[in-house]
Amino acid sequence: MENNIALSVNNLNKYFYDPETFQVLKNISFDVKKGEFLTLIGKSGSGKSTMLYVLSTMDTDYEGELFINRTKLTGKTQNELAAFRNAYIGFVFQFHYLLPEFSAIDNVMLPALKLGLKSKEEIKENAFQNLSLLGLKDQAYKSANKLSGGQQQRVAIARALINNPSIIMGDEPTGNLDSKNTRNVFEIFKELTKERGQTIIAVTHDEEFAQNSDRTIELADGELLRSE
Amino acid sequence: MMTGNTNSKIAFAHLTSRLRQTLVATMSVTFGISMYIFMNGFMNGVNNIQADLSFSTMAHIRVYNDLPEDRTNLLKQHTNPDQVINIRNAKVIQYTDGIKNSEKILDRLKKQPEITGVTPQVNINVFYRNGAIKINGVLSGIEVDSEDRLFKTSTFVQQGSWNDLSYRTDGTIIGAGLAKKMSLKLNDNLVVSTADGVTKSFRIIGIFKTTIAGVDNTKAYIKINSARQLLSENSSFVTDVQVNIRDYSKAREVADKLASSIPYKVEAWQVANGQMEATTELRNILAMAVSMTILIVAGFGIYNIMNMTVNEKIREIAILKAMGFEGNDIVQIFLLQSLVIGIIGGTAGIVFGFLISTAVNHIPFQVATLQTLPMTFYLKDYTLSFIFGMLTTFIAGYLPAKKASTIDPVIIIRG
Repeated sequence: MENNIALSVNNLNKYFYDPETFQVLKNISFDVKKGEFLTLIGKSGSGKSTMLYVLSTMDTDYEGELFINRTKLTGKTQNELAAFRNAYIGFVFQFHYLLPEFSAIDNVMLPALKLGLKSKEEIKENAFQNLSLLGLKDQAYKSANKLSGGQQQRVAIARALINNPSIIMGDEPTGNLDSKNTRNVFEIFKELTKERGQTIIAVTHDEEFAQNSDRTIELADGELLRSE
Repeated sequence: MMTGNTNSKIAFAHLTSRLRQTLVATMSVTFGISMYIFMNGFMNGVNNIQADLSFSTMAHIRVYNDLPEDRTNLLKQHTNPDQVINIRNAKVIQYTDGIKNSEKILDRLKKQPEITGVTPQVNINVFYRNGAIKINGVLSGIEVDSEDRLFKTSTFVQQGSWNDLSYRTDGTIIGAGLAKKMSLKLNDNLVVSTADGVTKSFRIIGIFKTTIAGVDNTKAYIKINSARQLLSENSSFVTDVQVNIRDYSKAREVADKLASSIPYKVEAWQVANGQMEATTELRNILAMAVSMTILIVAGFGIYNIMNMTVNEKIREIAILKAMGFEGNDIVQIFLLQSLVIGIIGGTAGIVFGFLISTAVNHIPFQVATLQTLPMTFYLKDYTLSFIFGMLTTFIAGYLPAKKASTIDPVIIIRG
């Protein structure tokens, strides 16, 4: 296997069993290079979000194999996967999913506090930088549930970046953002891939967003359509 | 360490963000614990009162000289087939009444560690007379101090004073029913005559009422020496030795143990009162059933509320897992919440339970010798209920958190 592969899946199959057995993902295999900005597109119901959850290790109910940074993740325990996600994966949900009781900066700090590699002061500084990067300098100490939808989404992105994960995954990370902020996030993602070699995999409906990425994979009815 | 802090911060945020729900959960713990304390205190109080009433005239163990064995079939002993034997109108010609050398036995009994009180009695079947009225009854010669220690007899004296008996050799304290039947009042004279034909007059210096009609209608107390005089016996003669032990339910075992070293009949209260033993046992079973029921009902209440609390936070659990929080972190977060709810609810429950118990203990209830409703305040009930409350809260927090910590986060997120 090549050294510059960030993520690879082999023969990924997945079924939903309720209400009746239905194959969501059909025999999918592909690699993602380090520093690559990859977008996943496809109609709703095509299985792209489902696949992203499998790639993020948050869904272990699949057939096939998943490697990230050449570590085989298929078959690992919940706790091993949690520790792995903490260190190497940043995830941005379709909806922000912040802890409403916590301030924006506290939300951003959480994964780093869990990782426990840096002092609390350092983490706080990093979190503040991340929030500033996303234009939320003034909102840092506001309670998460006092922020607007777009602001919350950007806090969630800042949170995903805090541990400098090797892969950042997003399920329509810019879905709730206006065009100005979408462009801003896109630029940040681009920079992360170019300057720091971080890999980005994002599900999107945004044609422009997809076109400007390094590579686009299209799914239809659970099958890989194009991989350019 | 870092994660521990973070976890407790999250736990605290959960507790404070939904104060109303935290309050409801805490209150369910408080309610369960205080109900347990109150019900147990009340049940035990009622049980104790019933035991007290029963043992107000009866000791746990009675030592006395039993009638000789059944000798109606004297031919049974006869083995020589060459002799012809004819027995007519058999009678016992030698039988010692009562216990002659009581000092030794009293000493021996007082040395037993499980025995809390011993009192000697000289009980005589007599006829009470006042003019034409003649009533059959029991005249009880007693030691004033030790009798009171065993039976709290002084608390039943309505007129006069129990202690007066100790310096009035001609004094007697009689049952209220007996006094009424014989139209006697304080300071009147009561004439008693024994089976042997001795007659003596006593001055009534007190009237008692135990509310047990069988006793109140037939019993009179005199000093033990006066009773000995009536029977022309010496100063170590007694008819009964009444013994109280630490735990009345163990009377049978203690009696069996004593029987080997005492040459008289040693009888536990259960032997003489089968029906009372049955009611006592049933009361204990009932108390246990009530106590268990409360535990189960309260336990389910606490469990439900805690379960709800965890389930409302299940989406956040999934997010935390997505960010890399492990199963142990999730369990820790919810156990911390359980702990806080358990400690606050438990402490409040103990205080509240004590207050309810104290209040009920002050409700007037003037029946028999009672003044207010009975109640016990056993440390055991309070500790047990607290431990139980903590345990239930803990389990109720642990189980759903454990379950949530082992499934894929996506299952929760997808809904």
